[in-house]
This record gives sequence, C-alpha cells and structure tokens, in this order.
Amino acid sequence: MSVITSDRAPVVPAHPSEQTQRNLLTVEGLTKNFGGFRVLDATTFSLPEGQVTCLVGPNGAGKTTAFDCITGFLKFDAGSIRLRGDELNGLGRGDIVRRGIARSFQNLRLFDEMSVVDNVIVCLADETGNDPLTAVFRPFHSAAILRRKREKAMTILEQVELAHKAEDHVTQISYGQQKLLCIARVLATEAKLLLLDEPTSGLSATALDNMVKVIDKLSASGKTLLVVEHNTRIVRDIADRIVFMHQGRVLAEGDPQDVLDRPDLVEIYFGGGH
Amino acid sequence: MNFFLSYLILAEIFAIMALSTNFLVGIIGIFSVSQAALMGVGAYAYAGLAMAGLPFPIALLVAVTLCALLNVVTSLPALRLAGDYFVITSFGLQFIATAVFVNWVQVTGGSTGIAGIPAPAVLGVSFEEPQYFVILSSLALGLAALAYTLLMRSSYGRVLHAVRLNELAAGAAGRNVLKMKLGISAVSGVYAGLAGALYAVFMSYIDPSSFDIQLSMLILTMLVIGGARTLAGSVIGPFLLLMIPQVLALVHIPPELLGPTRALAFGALLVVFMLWRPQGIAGRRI
Repeated sequence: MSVITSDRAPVVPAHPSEQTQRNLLTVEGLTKNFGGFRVLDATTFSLPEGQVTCLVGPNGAGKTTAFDCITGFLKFDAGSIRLRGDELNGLGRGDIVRRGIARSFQNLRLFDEMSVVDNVIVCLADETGNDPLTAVFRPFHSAAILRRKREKAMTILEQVELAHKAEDHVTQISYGQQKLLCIARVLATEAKLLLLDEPTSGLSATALDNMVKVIDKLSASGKTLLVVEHNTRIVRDIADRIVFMHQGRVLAEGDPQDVLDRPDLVEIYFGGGH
Repeated sequence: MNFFLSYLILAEIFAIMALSTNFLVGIIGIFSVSQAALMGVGAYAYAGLAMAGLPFPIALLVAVTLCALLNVVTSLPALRLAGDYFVITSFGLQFIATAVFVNWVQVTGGSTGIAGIPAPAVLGVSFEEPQYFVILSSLALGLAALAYTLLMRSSYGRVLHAVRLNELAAGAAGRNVLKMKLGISAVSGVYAGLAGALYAVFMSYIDPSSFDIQLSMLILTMLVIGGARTLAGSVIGPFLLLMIPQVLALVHIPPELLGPTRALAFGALLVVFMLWRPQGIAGRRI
C-alpha cells in the first residue's frame, strides 16, 4: 500500500516492515528556493538500507534538485539530511562522498579526453599517490600505486562488463557503455549509497537490459540505491520502493505496484502534471 | 659560439618557465597571465640572497620555496573565482609585482635593478661562462622535464587532468578540487622560481622590465605556439620564439625597427596559430 501525504506533512513509510528496516538516509523537510520559486517544498523521505528506491515524478518535480542537495552540490534553505543519523548539512561534496554517498549525472560528465580505465582510476576512494611529492620523489612507489589502482579499476569495470573497453578513449565507446562507465565511476568511490540520475535514459533495448542487470547486481551486492527513473516498466523491474514527487513535494512513498497503479498519480505523471 | 650558447641557455630557462605555465594553463586549466611576476620573485630572491653571500644551492632553494608559497598564497583567494575573473585577478598580480619591483628600492634596486649577481663556482670552475652555464641550465631543464613526466604519468597527473576536464565530476568523485589546484600552483611556483634564479645568474643583471606583463605574454605565446599539455610543446615554443630575434638580427633591418618587427612577428604567429592550429605545434587544445 502507498501512503499519500496531505500537503506538506511528513511521509510515513508504507510497509510495516519498512518501519523496522534500518534507514540509511533520512531526508526531512528539505526546502530549496530558486529566487521566488520553491523547487523543494518540505520534501521528506527515507531510504532503507540495501534497497533500490526509485525517485519518480514528472519533469520539474525536484528530483535532480533533491540529488544536488543530498550530494552537497546545492545548499538548501531548510530541512535536514541524515546518513545513519549523522547530519550532513554544511558538509562539502568531497566530505559527503567520503561519508558514503556518491552520484552519477544525467548528462554523464565523463572525463572525455581520458581512457575508460583512467576515468575509473580518478574516482577511486583510495587517494594514495594523489600528491606531487610521491609522484616526483618516490617514482617507483608511485608506479606501484598506479598499478594497484589500475587493478582495482579493472575489477570494477568487470562488474559493469566494460573491462574489454578499458583502454579505449571514452569517446570511442557507445552511449550505453558510457552510461555503464558512469556506474563504474560511482562504484569506484566505494560509497554505500549510490544516487543514479536517469541511468537508462536514451538507451537502446539491449543497452537498457544490460543496465537493468547491472543495477540488479548492485542491489544484490547490498548497495543502497536511489534512482531517478522515468520508464515505469524499468521502475517496476528494479525498484523495491518508490518515492513519488510532484512540484517539490513527496506525494507518495511505498511499494512500486501500489504507487504506480494509483489513478491520481498516473494522471499527474502522464497527464502533464495538472 | 657564445651567441648560440646564449640562445640555448635562454631557451632552456624559458622552457622551464613554459612548463611552469603549462601546469596551470594546460594541465589544470588556470589561465594565469602573471607568470613573469613569479619568475621575477625567484630572480630577485636569488639575487638578493646570492649578493648577501649565501651559497648557490641555499639561495636557489629559498627562491624556489618562496615562489611556491607565494603562488599558493596569491592563488588561494583567486581560485575561488570563475575562469574569466581569475584572468583579471592575475593581471592585477602582475601589475602589483611590477610596482613592488620598481618601488621596493632597498631590496630590488628599484628601476636601476640589481647588477653583478654572482654565478656559482664548483671546484674552481665558475658557471659565469656560457660553456659551463649551459651544463647547469641543461641539467635543470632535464630534471624539470623528468619531474613533469613523472607527475603526468602518476595517478596525481590523472586527477589534475580530470579537474580540468570536469571540475564538478571530479568533486563528485570526492576529489578536493581546491587542494589539487593549490598543489599544482606550488609546483608551478617551484618551476618559476628555478627559471627566475637561473635567469638572474645567467644575465647577472635584472631590473623590473625583465619581468613585466610583456614577458608574461611572451611566455604564454611560447606555450600556445609550442603546444599546451605536452612536454614537447613547452620545449619547442621557447626554442622557436627565441630564435625569431636571432633570425631578425641576421636580416638587415634598421636597429630602430628591430623591436617593433619582433613584436609584429610574435603577434602574427599567435594569430596564425589560433586560426589554423590552436593546439600549437605539439600540444593539445587548451
């Protein structure tokens, strides 16, 4: 069953089992204004650990803005974001990644003059050797660090089935493979919570199947995922839970079937948000 | 012979300076137009300390450290600004440096500069003579090039490139973008300090006009024409551009027209490269 919120009241988790499920992330009363326009309006939801939650809603619902606030890319005006109870407000992007939240971008943001494997190496949580003194004064140690990082990056690329493209330039691989590379980069951070912004948009049927398999694999490995997704078929496939947003507010939170079958939400989603 | 050696030495010194600029402009994407100011600080620091009797290695080390620290300190507020604003800020730094070089007479000698800067001597051999100094400048460029290669091949070099290519994505991966920029500013400062000190030793005379905005522009032109983001580009640019005055000296041009002709040649080269080969001779697009 889904829970429909009345105006700005906080959302209560739908399933009794969810209430006992440990929440990895809790977003409460998150509010963000751009000039006079309120993009997030007391947005409240939580992400149970180890589950895939899809953030759905029509364009302009505030999904990407919520991503930006959670990952420190935007400062928010009110509310709180807690990771396992620890407040994240005021932390920089790097600190948030180190605490265990990493994100991908809708427009990919790959390092487009670098190889596939170097794109992953740059994002690894292991920061040893990322300083000029080691590179210049301990060149053999620096080379050993790079070899170790390359091996780690290759393991990650194998997880997303991109190892055979490791040495290719990112502009030489297909769009679907670029999307998988985005997932590999997020995995490289070793974050517990992965925020994926429209990972399946623009993909061919085959690439889409690959992406769904990868997301399933991540879920099976115990990662907690928050995924912005527009394709309701995919949402039903991958999501354990749904957070439905509209005009900056969470209208429903719960089981995918229950939420997606609600006529009023279907009308909002497909009917232009009126 | 001395004519060729002088050209070679100056080209090597400016190749180190072009590498310093390459770190900022080419590798991490900080468009600095105050590199001559930094080179000047290195030159004046070395000159002052050497004149005070400090041995060459100590004076060099202090000059290099000072330039590294100064580049970090002056970059710190400016790096928080977006690209175009940083360029304007670095213009300001260049003008401030020139004003200090001219007006801090007790230290810099003011407009008259500092003359008689001593050259180092090892086992009774003075590096004052070009045939000996070229060993020093070649060794310095060799070490600078080796360090550049080691930096670029390391995981640190990869992160530097990533920051230039997409700062937001690098930040999203947990990289501390500001720390990376400050780190490479320090490295760039080390190179500029080394080039400045070598320049002071070789010329044995420096004055504020040696490190003005025109020199900053010349260094940038060397990098653009040689090619940014590669070792070869940073070496080719200075060797090519410093050859132009030598070539012009061989052509029968009235002495009063030599300066303007040289400036015209530099300007024309810059325009031609921007139009038809923006990545320079051996570089990649900035």
